[in-house]
Amino acid sequence: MLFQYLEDSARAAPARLAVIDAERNLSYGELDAASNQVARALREQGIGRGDRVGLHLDKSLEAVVGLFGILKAGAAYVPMDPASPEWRVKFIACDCALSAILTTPSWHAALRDVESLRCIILVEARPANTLRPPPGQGGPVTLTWANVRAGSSAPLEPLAESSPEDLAYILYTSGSTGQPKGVMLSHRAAHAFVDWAASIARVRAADRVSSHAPFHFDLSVFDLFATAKCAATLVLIPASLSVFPRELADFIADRHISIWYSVPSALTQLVARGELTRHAFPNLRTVLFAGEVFPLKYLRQLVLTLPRPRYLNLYGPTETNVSTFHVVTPADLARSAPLPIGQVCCGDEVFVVRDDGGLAGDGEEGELCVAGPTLMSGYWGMEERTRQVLGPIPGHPLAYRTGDRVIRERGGNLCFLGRRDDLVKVRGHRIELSAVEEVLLRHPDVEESAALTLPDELTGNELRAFVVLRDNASTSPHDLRQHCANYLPRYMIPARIDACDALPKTTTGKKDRVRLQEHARQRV
Amino acid sequence: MNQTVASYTEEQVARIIRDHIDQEFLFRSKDSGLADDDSLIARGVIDSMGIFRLVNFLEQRFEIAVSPPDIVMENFRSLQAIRAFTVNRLRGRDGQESD
Repeated sequence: MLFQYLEDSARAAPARLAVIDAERNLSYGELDAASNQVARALREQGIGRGDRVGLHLDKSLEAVVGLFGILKAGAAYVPMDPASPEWRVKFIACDCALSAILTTPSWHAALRDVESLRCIILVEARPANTLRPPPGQGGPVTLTWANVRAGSSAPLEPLAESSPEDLAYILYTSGSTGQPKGVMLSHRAAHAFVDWAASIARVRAADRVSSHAPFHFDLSVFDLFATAKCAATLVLIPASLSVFPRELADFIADRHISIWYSVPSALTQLVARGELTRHAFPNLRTVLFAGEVFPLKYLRQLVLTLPRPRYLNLYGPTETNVSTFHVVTPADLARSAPLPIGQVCCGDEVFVVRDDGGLAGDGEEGELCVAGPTLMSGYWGMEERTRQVLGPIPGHPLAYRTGDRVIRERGGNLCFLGRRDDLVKVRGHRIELSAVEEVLLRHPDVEESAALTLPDELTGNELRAFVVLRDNASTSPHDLRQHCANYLPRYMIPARIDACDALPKTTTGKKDRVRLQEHARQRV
Repeated sequence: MNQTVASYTEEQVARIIRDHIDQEFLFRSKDSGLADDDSLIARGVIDSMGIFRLVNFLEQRFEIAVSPPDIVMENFRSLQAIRAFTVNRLRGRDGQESD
């Protein structure tokens, strides 16, 4: 079980720093004790194996404590972006029937009517032990962080029953209908990835590992658990620093970060605007990236500026954790084709299936399918959708169809070519364009909608949308973005929405995405 | 506030920036009532993509140069900070003494 990484490290090295943020820190002993308190508070409310507990907090020491506490209780954690609109948070809470949630006091009123909730734990940004539970009749039990931390920190009774197939966490991603879907990952799947990743990244106890991705993003699984497994120190990167590459560079240097993991766009910003040459970064040994294609131009600049670290490209949709990887070589930097996603890893098997159903040979294109221990258990509550992507393929009885088109180069390296559907990436976030279009169509003045991305190597893809408004509608683009913000997380809100008289169509009547892109490019 | 810098009054600079932020960045219900000294970063109004759209806007609208060392928390923390930074740059552009 994933929390055993923490328990083993706490036993072996209780005084070693487990996690630090901008000002505070927790040792392994402290993190283990505090997460016992959270687990105990949850168990006292009857929450344990088979339950799901929401983690609706900004990244903080408390969020890390809460996350391990939920796992120790035997439940699965469901991380949610605190910046998401209320509609989305409540949708997720109801969809997977959360038994409990860790959230901030300002959300108490909005969440207390979620029927499945038996317990709400309120956590302030900087717990000062002055918070009182708000009054209220009936509904879920409300505890404050101080209540939770007043309990015994002794180890809990071990779970009476548990299985590596138990869910460890559910990550919600963009769904095509505008409603998010929950990817269920078991302890078994996470272990297969973490054990491999800790070894390939050569994480050691003396390492300081960055925690850049938010906890609702699958990159955080490496940060949290590979660090705990190796008794290294997790450095929480303040979200505000992602906005300022220069200050982020200073932070990486000042905190002696030795292993960095993020989406490529964060690294692109660092190399283009972080003025990296001001620092030597003597501690930085390993740089991992995943989530989208790293534009070679900026990867080249990064490796030239910081030649010392090893650079690793990890590939895998949330549904498979990570299933292939590639160590960047000097020869890669001279390529004109994109960086390979490389070779299979984590004990998985990969298959390239041609459109005609046969297995592709070297130099042939096809859909990448993944089988093996890192696979998800399915989508929460969506058996039909799960069966569509998880099932038999030529060569294997149970594989996940990624929807990614790839080609196997001579020498065996896999290269990503594009998507089979309308899924796009914006700074590593998955967005199904149809989800954005659906939400726009919910607006009473919108007759037709089309979403698209404009590629930009420096800033990453920019999400745009066009709408056709009903006659005499007076809705402004600003109104429409406001409408989107009621349903979608921030990264799914188009940077610009333009109204037009009609959407360009192909001869078969489909939205003409090529011409839409041309239109979008003209409107800067 | 009525001093003129590079053909703009400080009031005009403040209004142009406020209008742009209102139009481009404030579209969530919780964004309403943003005060001049509220943190744009902590409130999630400006993110890693938004900062560069904002910088482009300032460069084009006011014809000032913003380079990587300028893109720091101190200059973009709040509406007030962005205004002070812009006014300062406009003074510099005009050959006036900057503070």
